[in-house]
Amino acid sequence: MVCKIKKGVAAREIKGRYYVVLPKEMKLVKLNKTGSFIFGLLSARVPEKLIPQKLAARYKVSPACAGRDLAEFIRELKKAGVLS
Amino acid sequence: MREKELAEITEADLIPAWAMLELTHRCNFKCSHCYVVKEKIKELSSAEVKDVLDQLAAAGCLFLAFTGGELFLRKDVFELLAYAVKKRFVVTVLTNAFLLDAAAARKLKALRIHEVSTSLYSLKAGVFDKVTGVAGSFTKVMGALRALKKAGVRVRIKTPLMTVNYAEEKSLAAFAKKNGFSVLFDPVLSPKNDGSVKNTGQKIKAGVLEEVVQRHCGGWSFSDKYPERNVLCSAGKNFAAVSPSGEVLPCLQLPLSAGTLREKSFNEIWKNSPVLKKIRGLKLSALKECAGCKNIRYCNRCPGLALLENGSLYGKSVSACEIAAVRSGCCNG
Ligand code: SF4
Repeated sequence: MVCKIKKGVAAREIKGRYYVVLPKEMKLVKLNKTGSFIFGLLSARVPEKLIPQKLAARYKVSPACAGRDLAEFIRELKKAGVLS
Repeated sequence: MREKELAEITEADLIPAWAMLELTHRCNFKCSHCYVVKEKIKELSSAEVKDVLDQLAAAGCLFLAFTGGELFLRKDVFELLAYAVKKRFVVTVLTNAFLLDAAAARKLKALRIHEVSTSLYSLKAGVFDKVTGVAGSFTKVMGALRALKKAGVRVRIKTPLMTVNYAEEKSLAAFAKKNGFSVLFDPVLSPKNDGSVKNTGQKIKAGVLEEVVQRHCGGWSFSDKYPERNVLCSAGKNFAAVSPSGEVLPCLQLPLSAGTLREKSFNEIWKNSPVLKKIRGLKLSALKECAGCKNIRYCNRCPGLALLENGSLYGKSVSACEIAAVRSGCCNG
């Protein structure tokens, strides 16, 4: 599965956190540290399947746990219209 | 409310999260109240504008408004807007809308422009055309508003209230509401960017100003805790502006060049400009007239207007004083 940030989604990394405008609600949200890390990887077009590994290394969790967190994060952002 | 939090963080850290980019000073209208001083300048090329956008994004800018002059006079405008959307800015377009037809409106929607902001001076063709100095402009702009609405583009109407149109505020507000547009009224006319006031002849006079300001009685939020916030602003702190020739300004209303992007990077100018350092260092205690003013809690002083009206960044702003006095009277019975 290829997961991409949708065209026209406004976002900026400011002081280590991503601020993203949710397109459906036109609402500005601030991602938490982990979310910002994942969003940064998605912005840099890192393939989704490589992200759990990077998450696990960064936050010293098991790849399985990182995979679950990633799946949850992606589900939320898809629902909000941020990811395709 | 994330925008407020973002404003506080970026103001403290001097990150230009908000910016305005003037693409041109050329215009197809001749508005009587226009503040732009038209000089012969070499506008930034498409490639230069894109480079500015890259630099603004890298500096942390998220909210970007494109303005002019009339930006749709530039042939590359859609290319530049598309680039800005690709760079993930929240893009707002400030236009007189004269050149926007149905195809342009659909393009703006497809580009996912956040909002189009346009001035609607009147619902009467004669009044509108008199303000713009262009016969037929009312018909064209109303057509553009219909096209934008049909295309599903968010629209904001901005109306400077002047002697010729203040009486229309209610009907303009009703028009905006009926069409799902947001609306903003402003009784302040800025002098021209060279300080000349020849464009302020339509400014509403004292008795009428009271009537206009009182319509909004109670709708203001001022800081009692931080009164300096009422008389200073975020220009040059978390707000930047860029002129058509690449001058970096603290704000379009504060036309003091901090440096030119044709000579230095945005980052270098933003970090080291003495002009920006001076503006960032302004303190309430240095504003002698304002520091002791009894109306400070009702004031919306703009440092740029103070400079243009009185020639001093440290002085009062006559238009802010007039409005603050009315608000004070209004709130204190
Ligand atoms: S009302 Fe005038 S003098 Fe008082 S704070 Fe505002 S600008 Fe300054």
